[in-house]
Amino acid sequence: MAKKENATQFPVTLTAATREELAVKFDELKDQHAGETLIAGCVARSKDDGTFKITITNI
Amino acid sequence: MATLKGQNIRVLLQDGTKFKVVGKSTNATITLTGNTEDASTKDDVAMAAKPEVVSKSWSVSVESLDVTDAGAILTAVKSLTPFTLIWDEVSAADNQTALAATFARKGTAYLNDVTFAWNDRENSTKSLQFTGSGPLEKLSTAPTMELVTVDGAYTKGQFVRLFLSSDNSTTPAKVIAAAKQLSLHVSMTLEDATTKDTTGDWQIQEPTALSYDISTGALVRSGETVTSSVAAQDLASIEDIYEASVPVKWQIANVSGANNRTKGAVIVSGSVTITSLTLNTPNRANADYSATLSGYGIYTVGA
Repeated sequence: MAKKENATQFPVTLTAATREELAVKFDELKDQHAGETLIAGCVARSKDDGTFKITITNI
Repeated sequence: MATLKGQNIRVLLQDGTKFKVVGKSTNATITLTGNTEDASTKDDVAMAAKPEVVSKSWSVSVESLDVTDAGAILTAVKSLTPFTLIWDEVSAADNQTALAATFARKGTAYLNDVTFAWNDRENSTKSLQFTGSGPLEKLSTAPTMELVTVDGAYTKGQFVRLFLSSDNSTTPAKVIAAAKQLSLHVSMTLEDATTKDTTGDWQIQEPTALSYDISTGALVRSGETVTSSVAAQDLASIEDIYEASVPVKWQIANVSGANNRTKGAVIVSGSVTITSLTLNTPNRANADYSATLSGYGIYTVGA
C-alpha cells in the first residue's frame, strides 16, 4: 500500500473547544484511518483554558 | 539534612530508548519481599523459628489522575509483556528528571493489576501495580529522560460512562441511569516460574491468566425520569439481565451532550456476566444499588 501523504504521527492529541467538536474530530480521524485500530483515552479538560483534548494511538 | 519528600520519588517507565514518569501521579509504593523458609529443626532446643530467605520478590504500585492513556494502558496489560521500570529520586527543578540516587532501582515487571475509576464529579483515577520478574538492580547511571507535558487537564468522572446492552449481540446503546460510580479492574495472574536454571535469588514471574470486572453504582429511580434521546438501564432492566443469566455487551466511552449521554470515542468494550447485584436502602437516604460485572472473554480496546 502506498504511504499516505501527510500521514498522522501517532500518538496524536486532538484539541477542541467543546466535547461535541472533539467527537467530530475523532470521527474524522477514524475515517482517515479506516481499517486501522485507533486507541482512544479519556477526554481531559484543561483547567487553564477550558479546552478539551483526547490522545489517540494506533496499533 | 532535609527529609525526602514524596513528590521527589517517581516511577519511570521505559518508552523506546527513553524513560518517562507516570504523569499526574499522586502516590507510589515499592515493596521488597524476602520469602522465607523456616530452618528450625529438632536439634534446636528453643521454640523459635529460624526464617531463612530463599528468594526475593518485589512490586511497585503507582496511582495517578491521568486517564488520557486508558486505551494504551489497557492494550499494554492485555499484551502480557513486561515493562522496564525505574524507581528513583527526581530533580526538584521539574519533579521528573531521574537522578540515579543511591537507593534508585531498575527492573523488569509485569503490569498485573490495573484499576480505572470514573466517579461522578471527581477527577478520574488509575492505579497500576507492577510485579517484578527477575532482579531489581541498583541504578548506577541516570537514564535518558523524556519529560511529560504538565498540562493541568483532568477527566471528571461524569464524562466517562458505561453503556450496557441487554443481550450479547447488540451494540450497547443504553447508559446506566443515575450512575454515581464506575470502575474497571483488570487483573493478571502471575505464577512463580523460578527454577534451578535461575541465577540469583530473585523470583521470575510468568503470566498465566487475565480477568477483569466492572463495578458500577447508581441511585434507584422509579422508572426513567430523564428526558433524553439516549435510553438507559435502570435497576429493573439490570435485574432482567441478571435473571436471564447470559452475557451482555458493554462499552465504556467518553460522553457529552444532554444528561452526559451522547456517546463519543469508545475507550474499551466487551461482554460481561452480572455476578453481583446489591440494593442498599439506608434510612433517610437515597436508595442505591451496586453491580459487579465480570468479563466474559477478553475485552477489546476501542469499539
